[in-house]
Amino acid sequence: MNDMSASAIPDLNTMKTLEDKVSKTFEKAGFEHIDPAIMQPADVYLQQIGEAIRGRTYVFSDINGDELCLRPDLTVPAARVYIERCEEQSAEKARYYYSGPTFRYPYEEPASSEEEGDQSVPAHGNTREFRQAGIEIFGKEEKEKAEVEVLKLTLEALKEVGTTDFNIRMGDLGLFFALLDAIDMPDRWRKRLAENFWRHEDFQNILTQLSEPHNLEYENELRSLLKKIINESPKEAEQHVGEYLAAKAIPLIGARTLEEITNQLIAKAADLTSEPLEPEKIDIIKKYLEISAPPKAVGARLQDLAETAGLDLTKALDRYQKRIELLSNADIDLCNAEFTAEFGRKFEYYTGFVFQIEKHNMGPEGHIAGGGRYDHLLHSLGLPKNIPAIGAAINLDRLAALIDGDVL
Amino acid sequence: MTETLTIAVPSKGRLMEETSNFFRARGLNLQKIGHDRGYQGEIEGYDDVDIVYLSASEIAYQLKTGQIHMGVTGEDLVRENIIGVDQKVEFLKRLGFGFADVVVAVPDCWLDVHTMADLEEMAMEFRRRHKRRLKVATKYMNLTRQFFTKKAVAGYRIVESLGATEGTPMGGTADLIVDITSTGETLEANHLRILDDGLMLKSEANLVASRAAEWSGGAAEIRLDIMSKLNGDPA
Repeated sequence: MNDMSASAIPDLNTMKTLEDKVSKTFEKAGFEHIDPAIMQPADVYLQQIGEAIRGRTYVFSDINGDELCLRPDLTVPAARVYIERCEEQSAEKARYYYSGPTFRYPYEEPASSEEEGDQSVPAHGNTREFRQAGIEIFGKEEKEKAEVEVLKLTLEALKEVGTTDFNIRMGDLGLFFALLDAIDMPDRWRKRLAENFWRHEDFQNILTQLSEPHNLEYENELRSLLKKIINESPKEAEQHVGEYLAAKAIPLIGARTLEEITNQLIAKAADLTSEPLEPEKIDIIKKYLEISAPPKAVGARLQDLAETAGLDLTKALDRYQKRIELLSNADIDLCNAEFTAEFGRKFEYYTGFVFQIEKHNMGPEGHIAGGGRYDHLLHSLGLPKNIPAIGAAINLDRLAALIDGDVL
Repeated sequence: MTETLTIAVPSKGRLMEETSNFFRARGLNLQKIGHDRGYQGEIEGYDDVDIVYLSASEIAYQLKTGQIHMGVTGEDLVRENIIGVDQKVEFLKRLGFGFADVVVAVPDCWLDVHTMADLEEMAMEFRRRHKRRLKVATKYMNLTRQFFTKKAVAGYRIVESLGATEGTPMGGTADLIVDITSTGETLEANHLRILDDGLMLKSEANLVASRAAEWSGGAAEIRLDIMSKLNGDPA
C-alpha cells in the first residue's frame, strides 16, 4: 500500500479551474447540477453489470453485513437520482450535470479467455481515484438531436479549457442490432448473439458454433430424451422430462421448475435439428463488423452491404444519415472522426450511438471523454419501462495531465 | 543481525502431519520449540531457519505480504487470496498431498446444463423469469470470478459461503456452487453434478516462496540449501 499517494489531486489549482470551466459550460446549456452519493449500494452494480464489477470496484461490507461500493462511474449514480425523483414527482425529462471523484481498482483482470496465467496487470495511470465531469439527458427527446447535443456540449467544454486537438471515434450499437434483426435466423440464436455482442471471443465462438452442424455431446439416454420431446407439445414434453428424472431418482431441487428445464431442453432439441447458419449470413455479420471509415462514408457502405445481402435496413440507415446531417449542421468537424462498427462493444450498458474523444496521436492514453446512449439502464434499475437516456463524461484527471496547466 | 529464513507450515490436521512427513523423509526434521501446543518451531540442525505454525489461509496471506519467506499451503488458497499471484509469489514444488479439485457443480436435475456455455445460455432465461441473477455459493470469490469470466459466463451473483456450501442449492440460498471436492461423494449426496468443463483448479499442497519477503543477506542461500534437500529423493 506504499504506492498510495497522500493527495487525491496532484495540482489542486488546475483541477479547480478545469472543474469550474467545464461546469459553467454545462450550466449555461441549461443542465441542472446534481451531486450523486459517493457510496452506492453494491447490489445495483452487481445486478446491472455483474460480478465482473468486483474486479475493478471497491466493494465492501459494513458492520451490518450490507454490501456497498465506492462509485466506479457517475452514470449509474445519476440514473439513481433520476429514479428517486421520479418516485417523488413526475420527473419525465431531466438534464443533469455532475462533477466529482470516481474510484477504480488500479489493476485490471484480463477480460478475455485468451489470456492465461497471471490474472492482473496494472491499468494505465495506476490511480485509484479520478474525477469525472459529465452530463446525462433522461426522458423522451428526439434521439438523434439529443445525441448530437451531448457530443457538441462535450466538445465545447473541452474547447473551453483549451483542448482542441482531438479525434472523435464513433460507433452505433443500434445499427448492429438492426442488422441482426434483418438477418433471418431462429430468434433464440439472435438473442444469443445480441447478448454476447460485447464479449468478442464468445461472440466469435457462437458464430462458429451456429455455422457448424449441431452435435450435442450428450450421453445417449439424454439424447433419446431430446428426440422424444422434439415434436411434443410443451405439456407432454414436461411429462417426459419428469418421468426421466423419476426413473433416475433425481429430485427436483432449487428455484428452477420442471417447466423451465423442459423449455431449455426443447430449445436444445430444436438446435439439434435446425440447419446451421448459412456462411453468407455469417459473412454479412463479419463484413459489418469490419467497417471502419469516415462517418460520412459509412452510409454508402451500409447501403451496399444491405443491397448485396438483400436486407432491409432502411429505418436504421435513415437514423444514421439524420445524425450525420445534424452533426454537420452543428458545425462538428468530422474530418478527424472515424466510425468503427466494433466500437462500443466494451461497454455493457450502451444500446445505440457511442463516442469517445481522444487527444491527437495519443492512442488509448489520450482518451479524455466518452459517452453514449443507454436506453435500457433505467428500466433495469427499477423503472417500470425503458426510458431514453444518453450522456457523456470527461476524465478531468487525464485532461489535467494532458494540458499540464499552461493553457488555462 | 543474523539472517534467518522463515518457513510457515500448517498448524493442524492432516496437512501438518503430511508436511512434517514430507520434510522428515528428506532429512529435515521439523520440531516445535517449547510447549507442544505452541506455534514456534525449528528444523533440527538448522539454527538459521525459523518454522512458524499458521493456518493454511494465514500462510497465503503472509506470503503475499512477505512476512514469511516460504510456506506450505494449498494452491487454491494462494490463487484465491493473492491478486496478481505470479508477481507476488513463486510456486516451488507440488508436494503430492492435500489434493482438492475446485469445481463448478449444479443441481443434477438441470438436464439442460452440462457445460459452462449451457449455464450462460440458461442464465439469461433465468434472469428474465426470476428477475434476478443466478446465485453461486462459494468461498472462492476471486477464483470463481476469474474462471467464469474466462468461460464467458456473466449472468450470476456470488453469495459468500464459508461452510456447508454443498447444501445451499437444496436449502435455497443459492442455485449452484463452486467448492472443493476430493471424492465427489458429498456433491452426490446433495444431488449436485460437476459440469463437464467445470474443473476450475486441481489443487494440492505446494511449497511457495514469497517475492515480497526480504531475500538479501543470507535467506536466499539458506533457501538453496533447503530446496536441494526437498528436491532430493525421500529416504
